[in-house]
Amino acid sequence: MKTLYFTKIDYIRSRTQLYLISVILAVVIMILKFITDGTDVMVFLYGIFITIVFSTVPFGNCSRKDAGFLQLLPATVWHRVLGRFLFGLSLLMIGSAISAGCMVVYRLYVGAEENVIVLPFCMIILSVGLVFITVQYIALYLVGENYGAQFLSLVRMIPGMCFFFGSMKLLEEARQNPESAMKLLELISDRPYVISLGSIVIALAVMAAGVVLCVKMTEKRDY
Amino acid sequence: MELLEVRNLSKYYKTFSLENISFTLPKGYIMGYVGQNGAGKSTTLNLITNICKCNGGEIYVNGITCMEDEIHYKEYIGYIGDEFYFPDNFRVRDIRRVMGDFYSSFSTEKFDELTKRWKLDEKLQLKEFSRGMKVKLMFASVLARDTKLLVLDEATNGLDPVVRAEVLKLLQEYIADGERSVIFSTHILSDLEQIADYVYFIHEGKTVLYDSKDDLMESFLLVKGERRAISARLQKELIGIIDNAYGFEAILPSDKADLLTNEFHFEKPTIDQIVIHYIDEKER
Repeated sequence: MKTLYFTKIDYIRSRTQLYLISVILAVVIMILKFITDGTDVMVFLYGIFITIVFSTVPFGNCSRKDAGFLQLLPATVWHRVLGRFLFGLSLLMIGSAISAGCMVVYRLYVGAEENVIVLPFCMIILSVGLVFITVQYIALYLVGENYGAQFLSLVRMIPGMCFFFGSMKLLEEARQNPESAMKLLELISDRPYVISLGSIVIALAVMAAGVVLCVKMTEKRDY
Repeated sequence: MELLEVRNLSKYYKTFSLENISFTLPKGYIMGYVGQNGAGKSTTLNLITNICKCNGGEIYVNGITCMEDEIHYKEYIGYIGDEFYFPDNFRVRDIRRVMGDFYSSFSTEKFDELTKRWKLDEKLQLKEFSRGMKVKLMFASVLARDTKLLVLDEATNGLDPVVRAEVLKLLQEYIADGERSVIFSTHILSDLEQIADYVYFIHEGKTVLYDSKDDLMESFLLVKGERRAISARLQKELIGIIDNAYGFEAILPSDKADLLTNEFHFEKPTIDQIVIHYIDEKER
């Protein structure tokens, strides 16, 4: 239960940014309307990118004194770290739900056709997002929550941008080399849910390993 | 019975170390923890609250260590620091929710009563609170729980005299049932003289003095006079000789009072004077 209470604290601290996710996505849909070769997956991609960026907000608010406040609460380091990772995970789920909603809005707005491969493809994007959040959290715990604020601006932007522009590049490659892209798509479309669910399971395992690593890094740390 | 027991506490940093700090604080008493900036006061208090981890020694609060039972250990402690530790974008209602979630003994009614009494605005973000309001909110969050030990790290700094007097009164009320204790560090030694039962004086990470306040004040004399009247034997015993326009001022252990001739004036020193002269002696 204490783990969930730490997650709740992170939500209280990030509430302003949470409202922004929907607002930013609405703007993205408006912009994509004017891009002729835009796809509904791009809306989802952008939603996940914003969520990855916002998932680091609790570290940004974590000055030395705030970190001390969390330390004073009657809980263990496992509760604290697991609570933070649960925040990242649940935020990604919320971000995905909002992004999926925005995809539907985009389709209605632009008139794009539905593609059967979109759902597994989005699940793969989601799992990559989970891995990116895990890597961000490990980096921020490694540097220390006290110094997270300074380091944050770097960690906040780079992985998210790598994720977004990397995915965009892949989409572009797929357009230019449709044969190799088709092979990949065939591979996914042969077993769409095995591959996508498999990627989610792997990402969750990476996140679990990240929790253990972060607990070990912080349990002897001073605040 | 001892509420707080600190045994051979050590903490090493690159440029500072706290060495073999030991003391006990019985139930129903207040201890003043004094020393200069950088003496190790906050380090000790941070070790007690487990914000920092010690390199050696043990700390018992109400008979348990943090290693044995971290959750109960932290439930026993209420901490108020010099810095406001609640997140700036929180509101009073957020504090109520968080405290209620985490602390089994947290009383919402008591918290609401205190926040109403101190007129802490529910709607404002905490970053908009004044220093006095922030200290009051920290007190409200701690006093609404059934804590055993109150740890105050220069909590009265920067408060106006009215609020400070109110805080000191609160501390006395807090220990009134004889089951709870307070350890507090401060630079305002008049506060300490007003309410402390014990004084622990630390300098550069090492213990200088540790005694009950009354015994400590009885153990020294504040001596004033002219420099030329100081004999060689007296010179050896005087602590922290400070020259001033009228001669000198120093403290002397009371059991050496026979060294004083009628050329000197002496009186009972304040804690402030004992600390100042000891620091002066150590800095030489």
